[in-house]
Amino acid sequence: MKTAIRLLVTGSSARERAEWVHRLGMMRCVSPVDAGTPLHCLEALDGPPIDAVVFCETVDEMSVDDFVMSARLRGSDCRIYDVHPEGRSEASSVRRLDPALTPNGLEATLTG
Amino acid sequence: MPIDVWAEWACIPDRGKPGLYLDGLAVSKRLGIRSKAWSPERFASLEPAIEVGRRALAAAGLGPDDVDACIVVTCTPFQLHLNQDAFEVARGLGLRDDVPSDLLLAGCGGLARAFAAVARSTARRTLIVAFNATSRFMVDHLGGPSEVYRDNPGHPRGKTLWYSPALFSDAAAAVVLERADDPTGHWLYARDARRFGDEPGFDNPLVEFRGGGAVHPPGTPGATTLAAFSMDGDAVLKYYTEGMGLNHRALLGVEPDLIKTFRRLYTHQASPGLVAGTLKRLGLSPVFAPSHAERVGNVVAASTLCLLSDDVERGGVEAGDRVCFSVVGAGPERGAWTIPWMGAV
Repeated sequence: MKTAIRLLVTGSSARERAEWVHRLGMMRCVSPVDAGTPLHCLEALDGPPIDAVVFCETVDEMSVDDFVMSARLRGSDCRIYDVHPEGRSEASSVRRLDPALTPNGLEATLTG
Repeated sequence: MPIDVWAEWACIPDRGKPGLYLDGLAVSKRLGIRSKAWSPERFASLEPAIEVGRRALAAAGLGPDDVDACIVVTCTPFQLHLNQDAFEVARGLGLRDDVPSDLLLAGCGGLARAFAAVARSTARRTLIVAFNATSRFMVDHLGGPSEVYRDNPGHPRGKTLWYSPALFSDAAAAVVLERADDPTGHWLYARDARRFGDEPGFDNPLVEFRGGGAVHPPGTPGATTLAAFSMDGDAVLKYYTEGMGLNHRALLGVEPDLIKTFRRLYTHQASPGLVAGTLKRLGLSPVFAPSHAERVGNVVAASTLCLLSDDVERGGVEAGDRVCFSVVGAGPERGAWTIPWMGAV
């Protein structure tokens, strides 16, 4: 049996994070955790290995680019997904997660 | 310099809160460093580099006439062209006129290239001087923080340029290498352009400085915008972690009892998090492989020599101890080597 993807959800809005945790938690392949704001999420990367981080749309504490650089300098190679519709990162490794995707589409993106 | 003092001076814009700047805690949480070696006044000239060269010669009981070659390693030269920094260091130390003094433009892995050059040469005694004057590259003409790093929307990595001056720091260190009649050390140097371990070649430079060269000559559009050290965080992570692993496996290949038979392993101090993760992964204790990244930041090519110098000062290594080095850096390039430490007189 495949191990579920260990995934953190981060953003400034607790409501948005809770929605995404709920939505992603419906999938058997994903084990999402609300990691709080990006700075808290960054500290969580020092704990047990994390496969992926999902950035909610509202982020006013720390930019996605800062997060990517800080995560890499911390030694984390987690995949980073951004749900923002326009994309807001200069890092080529940041992947887009389209909120309009069906559960199957989301699963395919996160496991692809 | 405490990181909150540096942050107050640098005024890094907080992208999440327009009009506000990152404070020391915010910088520290992003980078993991508590303080950094930073002194644009002290590094206003090559004197710190000359001084450490002078001290290294004195510690070895040598005079300027006893050196056959000199290598100056840096990524922040005071003059970009015509080898002027290396000539000035040689003049400042009073080295013989028949001694070649070469400027080796390099990042964090530069010391490996210098050691490889020494290993392939026939020089009896080589003085290596490594220095990094990051602060000079972030200070504007009024002594304030340079806009190139703080606010540079024209640069492809403009949003994260500030990480370079925040992480990279100032330092100078020097060592004299003496060729033994019957050498016992080992060395490895790799650019990984053809193969990177079991993978295809690795061609990402990790850190770039594109403005001011022949591609974007001074005075042309974009030259100033691109005249900044910019890191590719993803590439840095991959090359550092895997490169340090490859270095270590190579060291264990020639010295299987490395941890028992060597006093220290000096690893390049890329960032506190990268160093801690690497030591954990390789099963190395912080006593055997000491760290200073949290205290001084990343001092680039001078990093491992500074660790050795600190150890010598507090008696952590003594004459006759075997020590090894492992470095990885921009280029990319990496390497590892073992030497018996002959001590300071």
